[in-house]
Amino acid sequence: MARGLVGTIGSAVTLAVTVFICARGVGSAGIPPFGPLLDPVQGAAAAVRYADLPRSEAQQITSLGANVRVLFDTRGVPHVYASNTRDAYRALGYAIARDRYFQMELTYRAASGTLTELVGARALSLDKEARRLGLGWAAERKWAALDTTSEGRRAMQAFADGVNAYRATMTPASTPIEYKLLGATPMAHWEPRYSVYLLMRMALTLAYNPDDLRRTRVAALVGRDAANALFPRNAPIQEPIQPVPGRTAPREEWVAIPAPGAPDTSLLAPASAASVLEHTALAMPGAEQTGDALGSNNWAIAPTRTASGGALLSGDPHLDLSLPSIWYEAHLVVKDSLDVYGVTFPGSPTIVIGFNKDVAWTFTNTGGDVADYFLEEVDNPTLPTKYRLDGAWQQLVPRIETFHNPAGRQVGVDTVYYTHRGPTTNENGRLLSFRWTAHDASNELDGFVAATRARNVQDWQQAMLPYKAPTQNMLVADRNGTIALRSLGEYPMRRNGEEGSYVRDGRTRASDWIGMLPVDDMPQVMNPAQGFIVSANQQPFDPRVVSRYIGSNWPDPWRALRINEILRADDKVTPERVRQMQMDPLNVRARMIAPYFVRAAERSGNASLGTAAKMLRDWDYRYSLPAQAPVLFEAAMKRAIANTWDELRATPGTPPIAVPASYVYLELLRDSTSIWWDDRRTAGTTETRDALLADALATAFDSLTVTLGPVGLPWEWGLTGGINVRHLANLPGFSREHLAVTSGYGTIAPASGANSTHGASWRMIVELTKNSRTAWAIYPGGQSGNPASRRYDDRLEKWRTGQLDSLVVPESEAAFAQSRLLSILELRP
Amino acid sequence: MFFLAAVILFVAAEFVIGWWTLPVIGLVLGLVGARRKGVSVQVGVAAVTAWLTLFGWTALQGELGIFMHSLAVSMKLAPVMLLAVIVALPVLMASAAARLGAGLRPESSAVTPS
Repeated sequence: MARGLVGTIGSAVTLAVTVFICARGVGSAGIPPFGPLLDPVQGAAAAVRYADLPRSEAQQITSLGANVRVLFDTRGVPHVYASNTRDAYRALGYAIARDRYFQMELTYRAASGTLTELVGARALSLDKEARRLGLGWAAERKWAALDTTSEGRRAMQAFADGVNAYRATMTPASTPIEYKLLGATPMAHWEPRYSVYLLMRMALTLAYNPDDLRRTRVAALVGRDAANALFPRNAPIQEPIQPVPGRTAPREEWVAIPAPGAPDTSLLAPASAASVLEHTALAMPGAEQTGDALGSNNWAIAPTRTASGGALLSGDPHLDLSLPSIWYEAHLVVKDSLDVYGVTFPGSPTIVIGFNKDVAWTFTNTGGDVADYFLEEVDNPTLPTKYRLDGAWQQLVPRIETFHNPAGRQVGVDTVYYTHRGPTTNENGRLLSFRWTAHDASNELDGFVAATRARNVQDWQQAMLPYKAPTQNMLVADRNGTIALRSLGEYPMRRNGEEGSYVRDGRTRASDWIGMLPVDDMPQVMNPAQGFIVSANQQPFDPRVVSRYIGSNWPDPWRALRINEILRADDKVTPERVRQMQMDPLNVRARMIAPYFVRAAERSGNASLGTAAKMLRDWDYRYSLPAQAPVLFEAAMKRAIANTWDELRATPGTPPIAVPASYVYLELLRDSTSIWWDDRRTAGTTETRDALLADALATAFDSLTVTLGPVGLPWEWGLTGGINVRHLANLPGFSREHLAVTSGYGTIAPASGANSTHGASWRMIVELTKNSRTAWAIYPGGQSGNPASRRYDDRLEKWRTGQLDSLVVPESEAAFAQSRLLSILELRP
Repeated sequence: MFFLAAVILFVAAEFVIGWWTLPVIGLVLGLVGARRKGVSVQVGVAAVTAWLTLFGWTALQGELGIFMHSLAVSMKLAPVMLLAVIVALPVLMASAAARLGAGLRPESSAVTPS
């Protein structure tokens, strides 16, 4: 009897524990709720049943004006055939939500600082950072300022209708796998304003570049002259976006880098430099640390230089690569009104990069100086309530930020103080306020919506005028053969022609911006005599030609140099040649720097460097998969840079507070005896360039020999480099890692080195002739966000090897080839 | 017969309602089959049979094996561990519930052959 009772009680306990763990999981132990997760019908396995699109499906969106047919082609691209544009956006919202709902929520939450509501307190620091940067605050301001009758706002509303119509159909079985793993519930509604948050997220990615903070920190270590030279206003190699008539080669203008000087903390008076030096959370890594991968390329070729006699446009924005991709491909058709194809961000209601019947367009990041930090004087460093402005105290406006977990319990609270400039951050009692163009009221979507209907380049440029941030090099071509680029967006102007190079004095309004650069003064070009336009994030103006300040410390020009070099040598360019260019493995950075290593090795008299020097000497500077020299070169560069910039370490053993661009390194290489070559750790010895380079090469060679073995197969770039395309939530099973690519830091298709996570996020070529439009494109991933779907990563291998898909662009349902049809979605009011 | 009925009941309940019917059905089957020898084992095996039947049904509709392998990697589990959890979970819940159910009936000590 007693035994039976014990058994019964034991069973009850076992049952209770098992059911509890299955239902709730054990968050602290990383155990998810196994019950709903492993349920064979509604759990993770259900993803398999939703992997393929149904052959046909009918759904309802009550706000539709008329039926909409969505035909999915065999690449999973929805072709929306609607009778009005708003219905088209509704259908697009439905289609994107069906494929990417988790991504939409994650991106929105990252921008709004509400990730804790999805994943709990572990995201608190990320959320606090987003809110301290004022992302949500700015999105709310932008939304509130939108004209309720504007096309952009109506598009967001229509898009949200479609998203929410899909959300209403979501069942436990069809819920994305990520929610099941997190034990989370998908958010109940997609609000129209969430699309604005996504734009803020892109602004953060592309336009948050606090060069002033970086330069101020460097000046506090090595003085202002050195800081200005290490993070210069102008690149020493000029191949500007706005071409210089008659110039057929890059212009070089090298200067000597002044020796490190006395620390300059005058800019921070009356506060000390320490607060800014400690301001690591907002510090941006230098160019050599991030590599060259967060940028973009685009180029357009006029009919006079193409084989077909039409205009050719190429674009490949370089962004963080993820699964699912940052992009979603779609085609929207409204008879006699709209026929636009391209990619959009999941959450944005219209095509961002693409083409219509007459015009094609794409973007690269301009990287202008669109943000300034101001050191404020406050009444109470520990609990500030006022800041001084022109001698009078002004009230700081507190904004209480609260953070909640998925259950609605508060998990954190933060107070962000605002000055008239924007949000502030408090570092050891010193308040820095932040002024950023992306915080300003704007309506970028009005521009995008209108641009999709443009009939020619002029129309398109006119439509985009409302665009403010982030500043973009907007390249456009049309069927008439016009090619043009304008670096559009808000560029702040400062009093007396000042530049935003350093943290500014917040105590006076004289430090504030006085307006924005007029459109006519922005970098731009239309139908240049050279017959092509190239932008690859390089300095837009040659300062010898146009001296106005729009930014500094420009990204390296290596990609721009190579693209211009190829285009100058070819006056019968074909789409196939453009495709090859997008994957061109030659690295101009290596071509200009590697010979210094070779000469240093030869001069060293060190016979053991013979093999290493020969590898670099015999190299054609191509990052092809079997090449071995890139592995050695990159390893040697890494060591050389680390040993060279030891002066930029705040304390020995810590990473440099910033690393100059590689063109600055090349500038330094021209001065063999510069004091910057000296390694301060070796007291009594003064190193020279050649000694440092030879040592870096020898150390890199020896280290590689230890890790990879003797020079041979394991040294091949294709085996040691590689790009990682990780799942959005960094789930390893749903990520694709170590993809061998002909990319490196400086090649046209960039990567920041081995294990890079950035690269060409979308490659597109469009050929526009009088009578036709033909397009090819690809992105790394697939249309579906469901890891069980073939469409999750079906494009990845093609992307890796540089192939493009030929795009299907049927103007009507009748023109849609049955052989290309995968699925039909019928949406009814 | 009891076993087959249990499997069908589990399949139907899980299909329509979900995983949490495992303990509920297990409890009911324990109460009903309290006099059977080894009822908790029978119910546990029936539950896992139903569970695997439903996984088999899903596998017919796509590449379940590959996906579950990726899922295991994402959960930082060896795939065989995930499989073990998938098998253990219904057995544990259903058999514990059945034993509890059987224990709640005083006459459960009287055993009849199955």
